[in-house]
Amino acid sequence: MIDKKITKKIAELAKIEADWPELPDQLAKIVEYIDKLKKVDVSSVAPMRNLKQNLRQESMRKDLEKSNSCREIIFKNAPAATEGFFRIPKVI
Amino acid sequence: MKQDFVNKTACQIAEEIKNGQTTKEQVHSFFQERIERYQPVINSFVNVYNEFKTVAGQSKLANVPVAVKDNICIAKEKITCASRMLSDFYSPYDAKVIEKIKAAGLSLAGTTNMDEFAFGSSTENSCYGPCRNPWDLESVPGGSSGGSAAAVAARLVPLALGSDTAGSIRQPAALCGVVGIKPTYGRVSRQGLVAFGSSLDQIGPIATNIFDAACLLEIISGYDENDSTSSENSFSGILEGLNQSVSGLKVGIPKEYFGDGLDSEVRDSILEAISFFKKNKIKFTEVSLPHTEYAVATYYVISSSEASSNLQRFDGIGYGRRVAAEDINQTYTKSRSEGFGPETKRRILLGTYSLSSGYYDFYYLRALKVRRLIKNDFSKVFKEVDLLLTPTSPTPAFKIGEKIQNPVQMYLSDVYTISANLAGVPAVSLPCGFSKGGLPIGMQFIGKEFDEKTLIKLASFFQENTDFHKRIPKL
Repeated sequence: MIDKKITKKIAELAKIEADWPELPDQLAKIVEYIDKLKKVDVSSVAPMRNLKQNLRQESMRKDLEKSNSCREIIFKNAPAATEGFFRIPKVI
Repeated sequence: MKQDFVNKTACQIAEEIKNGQTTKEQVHSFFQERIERYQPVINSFVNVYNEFKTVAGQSKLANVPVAVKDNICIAKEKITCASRMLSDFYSPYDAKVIEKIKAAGLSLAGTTNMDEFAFGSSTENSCYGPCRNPWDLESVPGGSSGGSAAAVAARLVPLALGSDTAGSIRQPAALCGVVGIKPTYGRVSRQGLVAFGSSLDQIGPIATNIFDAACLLEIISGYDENDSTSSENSFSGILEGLNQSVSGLKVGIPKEYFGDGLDSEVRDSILEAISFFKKNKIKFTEVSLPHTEYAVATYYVISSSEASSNLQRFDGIGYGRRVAAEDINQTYTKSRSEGFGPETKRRILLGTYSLSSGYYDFYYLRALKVRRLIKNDFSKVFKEVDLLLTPTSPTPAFKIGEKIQNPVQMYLSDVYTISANLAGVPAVSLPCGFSKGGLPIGMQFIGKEFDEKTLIKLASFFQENTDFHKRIPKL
């Protein structure tokens, strides 16, 4: 069962402020709905992680150098950049 | 005399430009004027390009304007996913589908409104405000590709691209009275589509009719080495067989898609379509997809888990919104909390929950197992029938505000479309009727992997004999 305490914990993990009052109740209703999966007998079923078996087996492409002209726009998108470097808050 | 392109198909418009009956400039200015007039009414666009962008190229759709959902990257243009998080983001490159569209000579008209990061079924979760349904301005256009479907329905553009993770092309197509195709997983490259649920997402076309949609699908299809889930299967032949006979086709009616919750007017329209097909020697069999009941729950666990992982990249560091704070952790948290809307936060939290220690086996792993059972249901019925026919949406368009506070109710709008994404199979939605209130009703064909051809053939036969797709909303 998802409650205020668990909501707070997962919000910390997801780095989101879960600060609106209806949220724990909304999440509880969603979880109550998905709990119907309990009813399915999956004891002899392998998980389907992707649909890959229908696709190509070898998906690694050659690691080749390619030219592009993205540099300028990448820095334009940065919240803060200077002299070809990203400016970020202190990490350690 | 001023030319009118409202009643023309995209292929006819391209043909007329090619033959010199009209010019690209006349076509573009016609649609630009319509966008200018109706955009304030329906809010289907996020960005409209002052000049439609065309790279010289040849195809059946050359010079025809196409609108692109605001989560598909167009080089040097603003792409926001209708999120405050990306309100100043410019794409460094073209998505593969945009490269292909440019090579085919289509004209980019702008980007369309959507639910933030494609989380939603109503295009209400947009930082640009809700998009409205051109058939009833108080109703939603569906979602999450609601802007693309509404723009095509209102004839602001003849063509649009959407993305479909659970029905986000088909459900808005049904609610707006247009055609939408969710291709087989792997047919269209996802490179340059902002990732939501990577094992489910596909880009696909929206058009007023099946032929235009099929032509656009053929253009955007194909193997791409930059998408590891892209398929090398042969892509030719989507348009093959359009004129071949449909008699003898075997169609399955999954009984689980006609139970409680299906609106009676939607049911009646679908039954009428079935009776039309029966008169034309198409065989129908009742089939069962026994795990359908679990599809919505399975989907919400898997897609939210994938989304919570995919959206970790929005941290306020390299790009996107940054909110200055005391330390790095506060920067992450403040940036994400201000950048994301409520539905995006709910999905991330649900995904974090189902992937977290202690819950992983119970939710995520279990959902992956149920996904296999759902996939097996389809494999089994496709041994008996060529395709399935179902409603696309349980109801016609609902009112703006009706479901926004009730996430589970909103999720159930996708109850008939979700399974095709879980199984990776193709599906088409096309108009098949109208409610007494004048709202469009859509039916869905679901096919075998890489067999879009059969769906397109049957849809084309239906449209040759009906005129639902020719009706245009009065704005």
